[in-house]
Amino acid sequence: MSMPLPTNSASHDELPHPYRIAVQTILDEPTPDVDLARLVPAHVTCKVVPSSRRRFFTHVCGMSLAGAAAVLLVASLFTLRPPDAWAQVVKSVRKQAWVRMHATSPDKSAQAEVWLSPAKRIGASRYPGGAFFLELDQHKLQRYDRTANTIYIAEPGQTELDNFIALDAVLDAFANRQEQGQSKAKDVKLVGQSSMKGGEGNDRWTDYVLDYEDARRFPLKFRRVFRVPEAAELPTTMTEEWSMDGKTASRSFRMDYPTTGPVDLYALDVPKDAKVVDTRSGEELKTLLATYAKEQAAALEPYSATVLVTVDDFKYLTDAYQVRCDGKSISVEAVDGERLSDLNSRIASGDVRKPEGADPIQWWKEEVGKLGFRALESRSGTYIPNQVNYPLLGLPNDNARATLNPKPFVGPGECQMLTIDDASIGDRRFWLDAARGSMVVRWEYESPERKPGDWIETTIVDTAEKSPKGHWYPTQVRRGQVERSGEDLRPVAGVAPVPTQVFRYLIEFE
Amino acid sequence: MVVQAAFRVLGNAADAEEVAQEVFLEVISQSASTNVRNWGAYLRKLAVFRSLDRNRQRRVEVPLPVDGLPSAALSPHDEAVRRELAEHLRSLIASLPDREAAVFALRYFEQMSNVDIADLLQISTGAVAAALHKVRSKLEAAVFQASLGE
Repeated sequence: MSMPLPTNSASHDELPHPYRIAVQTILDEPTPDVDLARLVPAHVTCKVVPSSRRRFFTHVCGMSLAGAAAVLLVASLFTLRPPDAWAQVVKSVRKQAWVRMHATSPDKSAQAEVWLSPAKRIGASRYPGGAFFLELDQHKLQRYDRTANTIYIAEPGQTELDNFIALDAVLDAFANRQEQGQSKAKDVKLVGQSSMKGGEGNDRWTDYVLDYEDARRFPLKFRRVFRVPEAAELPTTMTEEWSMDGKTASRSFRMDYPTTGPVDLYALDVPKDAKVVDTRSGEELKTLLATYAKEQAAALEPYSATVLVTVDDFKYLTDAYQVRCDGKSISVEAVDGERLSDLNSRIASGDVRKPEGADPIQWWKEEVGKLGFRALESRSGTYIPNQVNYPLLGLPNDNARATLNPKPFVGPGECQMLTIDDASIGDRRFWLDAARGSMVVRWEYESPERKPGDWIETTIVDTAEKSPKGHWYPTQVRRGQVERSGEDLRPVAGVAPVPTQVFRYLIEFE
Repeated sequence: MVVQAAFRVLGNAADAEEVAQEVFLEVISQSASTNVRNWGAYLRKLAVFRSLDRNRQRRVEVPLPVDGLPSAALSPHDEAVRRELAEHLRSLIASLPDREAAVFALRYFEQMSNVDIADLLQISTGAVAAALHKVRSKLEAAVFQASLGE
């Protein structure tokens, strides 16, 4: 089965799937260590008074996405609340019906435009590969893919909002993948501000210089310079500058302020005959969730498995498990850690050698089979094969908002990306492979405590096979952390904050 | 035992400790003539009821996740999802009528039999079964609604 089966399954086995796991989780929680003697007073003469111990609570932010987006829109353009001349510039820009930014690639071969209307709360972009049209009040994002001649309509995810608003759409237009990132706008920090006057011939201007650190980008630091001509209040150019490998690079955007702007996506050179795919929390998402739930609950035939875990390509083994499923319950045993450590030491010293030409996986399987195992109480973990390719989505959950992206920018190709935004659990992204039973082939997790610069927990299903009854299960999985969404896990220990673990599942069906 | 029963309903060590204290004080304050056949079951019942009361009082607030020890090979995502599911269940139990909530907690958290629950709550085993059936139906409805994206 795809869910963790409880030790004493007689009672809560009868509950619906997610609640079965909830009960098992509660039963698995260690009981707090409480000094009972302190709780039972020697003399009882007073009324019970609640402890003055402060109770901590988390508060789920009720800010609506649209509200947040509006804040971001303004914040990303003009982050400051300045008391000086820059304040007047910001104020003047905000009064404009439209702000248009226009850029040309260095070889003049590609152009991109970004339109922003603070008053209408609309953002739009046109670039060589397609176009965006974002209506914040409508909570609607339309993206046109020129190659597929298709318009995808979606609820804007936080990442898309951030990327778009932070002008990454423009960056994408020039296919500068290094600068693509997916994170929160809060990752962008203004670390410096200055201004300087300049001139050439009769022209005079003021450059307002803003220095940023953006945890989503590489390089981390960059500068934006807004140039405002003398006697004017509106910037006419915005130049971004950054250094990489000791070289300074820059690109400039011309800025102007038209009185009218695009009224819809089609005003951005999108053909009227483009195919339209609406992915907003509608039928596609419902169908996907229903299919996924069905596959997740499907029983995997009785099997026994040896699960090998390594961080150095099976030179040594960090863990091994034996998992047995009789179709109703699962039992898990973990290898004797001391004996495994001893075996690793003897390999390191040369006392034990793998036979020349032997399959290392089979060799390890035989060797760990000779070591002792101890029963584990836990029935949930990466060592249970089909909990990995059909992980819990965390539903039902009132705090969660699920969105579907049928053609994500990053991650495995030909997969749909299910994003679940959740203030309490954290944000998660799942790439589902419709051709393989809607199993998850990659998932990423950002905890609510994630700070700018923290890496992203990532699990990747490298290979999978079908059981005799046609259910997909993984045969190799990697788990670790990546710096940016969509990146591959790095095999070299010491690069990422945690080493990448490789799990091999050697499954034999009965 | 009392702390554990309270903790399973509340998911918060500080609250569980306070409930345990209340239970002990309540027992100590009771008349010596109180007729209790099974003190273990009786204390668990009191712990469950006092915890449900407390859970209802704080239902509008979201407690911090339990500081549980990570299970072997459990990813941070797994941990987070399981904690959330547990909190979701606790919240849902707090919204149930008294009898249903108590029967659920005693059955699934304290793993008592229907007969023992009936004996403890002084109701019939049929009433226990009916309460459990109602709770399960509500849980299934919640899952169904979630699967519709509602």
